[in-house]
Amino acid sequence: MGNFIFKPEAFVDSLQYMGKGMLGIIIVIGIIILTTVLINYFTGEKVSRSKKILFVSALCLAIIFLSAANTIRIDQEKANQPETPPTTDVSPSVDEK
Amino acid sequence: MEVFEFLYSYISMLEWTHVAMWAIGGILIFLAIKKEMEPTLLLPLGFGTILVNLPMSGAVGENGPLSVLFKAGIDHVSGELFPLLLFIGIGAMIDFGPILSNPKLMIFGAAAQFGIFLTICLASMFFDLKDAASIGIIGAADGPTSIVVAQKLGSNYVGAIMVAAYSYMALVPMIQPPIIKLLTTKQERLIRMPYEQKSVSKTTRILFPIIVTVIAGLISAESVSLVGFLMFGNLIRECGVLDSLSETAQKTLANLVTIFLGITIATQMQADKFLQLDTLLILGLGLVAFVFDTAGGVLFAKLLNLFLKKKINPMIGAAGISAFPMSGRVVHKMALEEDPNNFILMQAIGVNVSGQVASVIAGGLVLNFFMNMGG
Repeated sequence: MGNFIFKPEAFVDSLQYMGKGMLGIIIVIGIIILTTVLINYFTGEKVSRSKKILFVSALCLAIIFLSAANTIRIDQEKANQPETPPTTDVSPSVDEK
Repeated sequence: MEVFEFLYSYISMLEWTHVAMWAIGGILIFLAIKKEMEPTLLLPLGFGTILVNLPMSGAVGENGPLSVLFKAGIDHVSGELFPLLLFIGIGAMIDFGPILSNPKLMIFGAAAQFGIFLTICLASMFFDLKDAASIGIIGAADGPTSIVVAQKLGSNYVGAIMVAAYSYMALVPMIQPPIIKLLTTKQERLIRMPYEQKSVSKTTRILFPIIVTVIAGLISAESVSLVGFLMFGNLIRECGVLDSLSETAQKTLANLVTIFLGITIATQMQADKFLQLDTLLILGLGLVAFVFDTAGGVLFAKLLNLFLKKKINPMIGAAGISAFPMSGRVVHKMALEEDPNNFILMQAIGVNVSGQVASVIAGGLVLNFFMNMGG
């Protein structure tokens, strides 16, 4: 009735996913925690308006710089890809027909 | 007798497997009504199980309405629409205030997803990796996440996974306390955690869902639909200018989708798919996922206590499971049983809410690992 085959070695093989998964989720949640702390700090009353504007501007500039750098890199990779050779036309010429 | 053939022709096709599934459907309905265990899902699921296990049932098949609904709302072709729409409603119901005022609590939500990945390793000994991952995600303790991941990975066991996920979510008050007591000492359970109310600005409440979506989406593109729909629902709630939409999402949308989701998932409860030894194994592995989620959260809290001067009550780690708000209430109740003056409800609920976010991110990571894997 069962459609499974017992493979004990698969446990060891799949441990990498446990490691990556737990590390991944802790890193993502860690980034979210850090971001939340920053948001709480910069939206609080203790921080001056000029500091808030400075922080938001710096963040926007960082995002723009990162996306621009990525766009340039992707365009360069596309340009560096070897050109595909033109396919030869194998259809018979009009004279041959 | 041939004159009456039209009366008994379908009765003659009734097999013991059909009757067995009727019994299972009946048990689900009993649990929903009498024991009030997740009635919003278990009742439609139970009744749908009976519907699809009548011989030559017109509810399934090429033009069967349940099959049409399945293709429209749950099948991979439809983009798993129903659970994602339900996530809008769930997001609109969640108040992230407790974790926004104390963001450090979110780490316990992460730790309490340990059961997912351990169960994937255990399940891989019996199933191929995609099915193992679909079974492991039962540990997310979140119905929509389990459905979306299982469907996107093309699992053959969606029915069993759903029954396991929703049943164990309802059984959290029975599953968690023994595990927590086993892993903690009485002194640890008596640790008090005074709650300091901190205000959270409206700007923070509005920015949080947007930023979480961007962060989770940049790291795991597969999680965009899961995290995005949940956070969209929350944004509708927190923006303050869409009260009618928020109320609609929380009540009408959530209830409407739940009706369709429950009865439609029953198409996976047909006897030939459900009555296999694999189903029992999946139910067992689902329980393992919940147990080790609880253990992961508690042990992580105990680990942190080795380095902290101001100790944490390790029970709150168990609240990182996504079964909201049951898990938080279970932990709070256990604390009160040890010491009637020990109130850790706000911390427990905060961790519980963070578990919702963490489980969705875990679902995205699982999809990232396994979705493009062959076989």
